[in-house]
Amino acid sequence: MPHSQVTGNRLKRLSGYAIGIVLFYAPFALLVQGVGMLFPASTAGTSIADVHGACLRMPLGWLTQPWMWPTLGSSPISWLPLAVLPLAAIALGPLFCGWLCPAGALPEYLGRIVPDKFKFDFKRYVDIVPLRYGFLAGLLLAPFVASSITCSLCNFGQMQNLVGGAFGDPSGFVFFSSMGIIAAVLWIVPLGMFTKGGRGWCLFLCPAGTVMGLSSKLGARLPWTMRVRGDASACTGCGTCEDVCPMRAVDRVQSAEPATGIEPIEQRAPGGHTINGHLCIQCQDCVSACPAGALAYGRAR
Amino acid sequence: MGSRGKSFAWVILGMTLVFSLGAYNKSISAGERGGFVMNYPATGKDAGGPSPRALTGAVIVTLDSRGIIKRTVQPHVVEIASHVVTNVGDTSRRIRFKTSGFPADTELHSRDRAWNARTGEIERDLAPGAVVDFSMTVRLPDPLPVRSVPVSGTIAIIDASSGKQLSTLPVMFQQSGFATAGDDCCAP
Repeated sequence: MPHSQVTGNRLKRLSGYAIGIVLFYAPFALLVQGVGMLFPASTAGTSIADVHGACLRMPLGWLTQPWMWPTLGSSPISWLPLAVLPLAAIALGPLFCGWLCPAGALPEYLGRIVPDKFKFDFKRYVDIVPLRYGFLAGLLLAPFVASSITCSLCNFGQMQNLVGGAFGDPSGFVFFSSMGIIAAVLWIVPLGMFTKGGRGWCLFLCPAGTVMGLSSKLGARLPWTMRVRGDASACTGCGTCEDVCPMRAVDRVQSAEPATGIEPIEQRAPGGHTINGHLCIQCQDCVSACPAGALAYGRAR
Repeated sequence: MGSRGKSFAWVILGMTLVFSLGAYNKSISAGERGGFVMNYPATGKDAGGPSPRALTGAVIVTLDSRGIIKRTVQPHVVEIASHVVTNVGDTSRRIRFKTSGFPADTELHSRDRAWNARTGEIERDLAPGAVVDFSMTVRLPDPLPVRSVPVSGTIAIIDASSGKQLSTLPVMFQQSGFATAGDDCCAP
C-alpha cells in the first residue's frame, strides 16, 4: 500500500531529524562542539555551543557585506552553508533538508494534523521558483536597502528555543521580539501547518535551502550525481507523487505542454509528472508512494 | 507578459517583500534589542557600542520604537546582546561579565560552551583575538515610569583572575518624557 510505505519513509526521516537535533542543537550540538574543539575559539561562532555556532543563514548574508569577509574566511563553520552543504547538494541533492533539518520538518509534520482543505497550495497561485530566488536576493541585499532580517527571521533559532526548552533550558523564552514572534508564527502556522506540504518557510524564507536547491539543480546534469529520478515509461500519471510532495516540487505535465521559462524539467513523461530540481529535497516520499515503482533515488541511467 | 517577464516579476515581488520586512525591522529593532560589540581590555570609546562597524561607547535603546507586537506581548523586557566580544589584548585571559545599575531583574546569558551562568564567567582561557557571545535581558519597571530617572546601567568585563575591570559599556533606555541624563531634570 503506497500510503503505509510513505508513512514508513516519513518515520525514517523522523529518525534523521532526531540525528539533526543531536548534531546541531543544544544541549547536544555534537557537530558544532566538535568543530569548536578542532578549531579552538579564535573566530566568531566556534565557541558557541548551539545551532548558532553552525549558522546556515548569516554566512550567506555576509557574502554581500565586504566588511564581514574576514570573519567569513576565518570561521571554519561558515563553510558549512557556503561549501559543504552546497557541494553535498551537488552530489546527493539537498538531503540535509529532506533528512536532517528538524526546523524544516517540524511544521511539515505538525501540518499533518490539519486537513488539506484548510491549506493554501502556493503552487496553484504562485510561481514558486522565481519567488524563492527573489526572497534569497532580498535577504542578501536587505542590509543595503533596509536592514538585515537574516537573524530576525530565523527558524533555526526558534527551533533551538524549542529544543532547549524541551531539555530544561528556558532561556529561549525569556525575551520575545516582534520579529521573533512574526517569524515563529509564520514558520509554524501560515507557512507551516496551513500550507500544503507544510514547507512554506523552506520554500521562501530559508536562504540555505534555496542555495542547496540551486546547487542540486546545477549538479543534476552530472551523470554520477544521486537524485530522485523517474522512469517515464512506467509512470501512469496517477498523481500520488504530486500529492505527497512536501515541497510541491512535482508537477503534472500535459503531453502538449512545452517547457517554459526557468522551470526546470528533470524528467518528463507524456501525461505524467516532472520533478522540479530547484525545489526537490530528496525526501523520497514520492519514491515510497509511487504505486507503479516509477521513481527511484540513484544515478542517471 | 512573457514567461521570463513573469518570472522576473515574481523575483521582484520576493525582494520587495523582504525589503518591506527589513524596513519594518529597522523601525522597531532599536526599541526592542540593543546590539553591540565590545573589546577588552579597553577604555573609553573602544569599550563598545551599538554598531559592529562603529564603536561609539554606549548602547541606547529607544523604547518608543518598539513594535506593536512587542508592546502587546512583552513590553518590559529588553535584550542587550552581542556575538562579538573580543579579546584585543596580547595575552590570554579568563573573563567574567558583571552588570550594575540596572533594575534588579537582569539575566545574563552566553551561548559559549564554557559559560557558567551562576558566576557569569567564561571558564576557559580566551586567546588574543578570541570572540565570545554574550547577552542579557533587562526587565524594566512595570509600569514604565514617565518623567522619572531613566533606567540605565553598565556592563563590565572583569579579569576573572585578578578582578581588574577590563572594559565597560553603558546602556541607556530612552522614552518620551523619560529623562536620559542621569537625573529627573525633565520632571515637573
